[in-house]
Amino acid sequence: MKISARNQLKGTVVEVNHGAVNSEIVVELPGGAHLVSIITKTSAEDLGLAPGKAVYAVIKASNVMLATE
Amino acid sequence: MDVIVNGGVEAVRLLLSGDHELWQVIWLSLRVSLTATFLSLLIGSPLGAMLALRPFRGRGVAVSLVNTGMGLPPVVVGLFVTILLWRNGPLGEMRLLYTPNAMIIAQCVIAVPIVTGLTLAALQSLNPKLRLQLQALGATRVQMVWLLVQEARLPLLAAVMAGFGAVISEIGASMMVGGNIQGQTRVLTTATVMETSKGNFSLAMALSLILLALMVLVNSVLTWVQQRQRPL
Amino acid sequence: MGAILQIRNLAIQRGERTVLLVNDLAVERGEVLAIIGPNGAGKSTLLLALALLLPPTSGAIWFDGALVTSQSNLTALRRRMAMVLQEPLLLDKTVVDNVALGLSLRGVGRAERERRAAVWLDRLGIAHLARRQARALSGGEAQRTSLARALALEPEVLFLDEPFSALDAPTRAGLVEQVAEIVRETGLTTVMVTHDRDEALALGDRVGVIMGGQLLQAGTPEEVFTTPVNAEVAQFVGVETVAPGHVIAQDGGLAAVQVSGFVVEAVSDAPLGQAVLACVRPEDVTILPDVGRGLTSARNVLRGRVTRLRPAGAQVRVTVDCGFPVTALITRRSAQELDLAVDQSVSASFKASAVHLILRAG
Repeated sequence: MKISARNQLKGTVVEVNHGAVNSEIVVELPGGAHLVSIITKTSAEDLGLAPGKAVYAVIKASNVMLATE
Repeated sequence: MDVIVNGGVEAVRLLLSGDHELWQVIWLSLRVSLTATFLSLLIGSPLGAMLALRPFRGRGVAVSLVNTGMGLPPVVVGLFVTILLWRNGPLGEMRLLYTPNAMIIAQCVIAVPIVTGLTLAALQSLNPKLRLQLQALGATRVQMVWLLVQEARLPLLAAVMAGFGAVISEIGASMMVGGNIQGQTRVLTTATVMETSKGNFSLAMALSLILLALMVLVNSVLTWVQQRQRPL
Repeated sequence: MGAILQIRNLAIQRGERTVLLVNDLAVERGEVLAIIGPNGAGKSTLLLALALLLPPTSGAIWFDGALVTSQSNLTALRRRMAMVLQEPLLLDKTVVDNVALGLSLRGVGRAERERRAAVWLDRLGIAHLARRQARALSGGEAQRTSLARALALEPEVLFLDEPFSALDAPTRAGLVEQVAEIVRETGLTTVMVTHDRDEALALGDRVGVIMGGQLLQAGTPEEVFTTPVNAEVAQFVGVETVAPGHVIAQDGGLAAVQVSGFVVEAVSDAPLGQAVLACVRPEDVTILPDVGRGLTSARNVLRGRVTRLRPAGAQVRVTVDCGFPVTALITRRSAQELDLAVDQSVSASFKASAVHLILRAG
C-alpha cells in the first residue's frame, strides 16, 4: 500500500469492541505482539473488521514514542 | 509600685473632683493636637497623593526628604519654630510665640511629614493597574484621586493615628514654643515634666495615665472606624 | 459606517527602545479583532494606545473619524469605550456598586445606574452576588463583575486585555463562550488581546499577529492560520489546516462538517448547524497517492493537488489544495517514495479524532 506513513505493520484482527462512537480494535502482529487501534465505529464497519481479518496498522513515524527500561 | 497605684488613685480623684486646672490642661492638649493633626491631614494627604501619583523631576529627592521628615526630632522643630516666631524673627510681628497657636504650628510641622509619608505608602500599596482601570472607566483626574484615596482609606486612617500619636505625646516643641504657661499653654506632657521635676510623682503619674487614656480613647475610635467594614 | 478606530504610523517608545510600531490598522464597527502574539510582543501596549490610555510617541489615531490630538478631551473620548484587564481590579465596595462605577463617574443617576447594573449582573449570572463585598468574590466571579462593569457602560468599543487568562480552565471555557455570545448579540465592536490561539479563533472575526512590537499580519482567522506571512508568524500560530464550515450531521459524537466542497468528519459533540472552524495538526495528516477511499480506517480522505512542498528539518511540509489548504508534515523519505511534486494529484487523510472543532459565533 502506498501511503506517506512510514510504518505499515501487517497483522490479524483478534478483537473488536464497539463503543458508541469509537471502536477498539486489537491487532496481533506476526511476532505475537498486540497493537490497539481506536477508530470510529463507522470505519470499523466500513472496513468489515472482525476477528481473523488481515489488516495493516499504519502509524506515522512522528507519532511513535520510544521508551527504554 | 506604690507610685503607680497612688498615681492611678490620684488621677481618678482629680478627674472626679472636676479640678479646673486639670481639665483645662486636658482640653488644651486635645485642642492643640487634634487641630494640628487635622491641619497636617489637609496639607500632608494631598502632598502624599501628589508624590504617589504624579511623576515629576526631583520626585526621588522629595520622597527621601519626606522620609527623613517622618523622624524629625521635636526639639529641632521647636528650635526652628521659636526662631521663626521670636519677637525679632521673620514672623515675630504676629505675636504667636508662647500661644497655643505656636504649639499647633510646631506640632503641624512634626505631623505633616508623617501624614505625607504614610499617605504616599498607602497609595503606593494599591495595585498600580487600578489607576489605568479607573482612567479606562472614564474617571477624570480628580475622580481618580478621590477613588484611590477611598480605596486606601484604611492605611490612611493609620496615618491619622500615627500623626495624632506623635503630636500629643511630643514635648520638646510644645515646651519651647508654648512655654508651659499655667492656664495658657500647659498641656499634659509639659505638665508631667514639670510635676516630675518638682518631685510630685503621684501627680505626674496621674497626668501620664490620663495622657495614655486619651491616646487609647482617640485611637479606639479611629480603629473602630477602620475595622468596622473589615470581615473577620 | 467605516472604521471606528484607525491608526497610522503609530510608534511607542520606552526610553530609547521602540516597543510598538504599527503602520496601519483599522478597527471596523461591529467586528471582533483578536490580537495575538507571544508575551512581551507589544499586544497590551497596542491595546492601551487604542484605548487612548497611552499617548503614542508619534503617529496618528482616529476615533470615530476624528483625529485624536493633545487638545482632545481624552476623558470624554474614553467614556465612549470600556476595558477589561487580566485582573478584575474591583474597588472595595459591593458588587453592584462596582458594576455601576463607570456610570456613576459619568454622572448617571442612581436609579438608572442600578437598573443597568442589574441587567448586566443578571446577564453574567452574578445577580445573586449583587450585595456581596467585591473582596469576597472568587476569581471567576470577580472577572464577571469586571465584565459587567464594562458592559453596563454600553460602550462603542470594548477592549479586552487577556481577560480570561488568569482563570482556571472550566471557568474560562464557560466565560469565553458567554462573552462570545454577548458580543455577537450586541454587535459590540471589540478589540481583544490574547496569547491563546483557541480564544482568538473562537471570538475573532479578524486576527492580528503582533511579534517584536510589529503588527505582522491581520486577516480572517483562516487566512492567518493557513497562510502566515512569514516563518515567524507560522511558527507562532503553528501552520495548521484551519477551515470554516458548518455541522451538517451529528451522529452521537461524530460530526460531519461541510467545508467548501468536502465533508470532513470529526469526533465532536458540536450541534447540527453550528458554525465551526475545523483544525487539523499537520502531524496528524498522511498523504496517499490519488486513490478513492475505503483503504484505511481514517474517516477523512480528501482528494486534491499538491501546491507546495517545503522542507522542515528531516520532514517535509506538504500543502494540498482540497478546495481549502490542508497541510501535512511527513518524512522526507515518504515524500521521495511517493514521488511528491507540485501539481501532483494526491489524497490527504486524517482520522476523525484528529480534527479539532472550534465553535464559532454566527
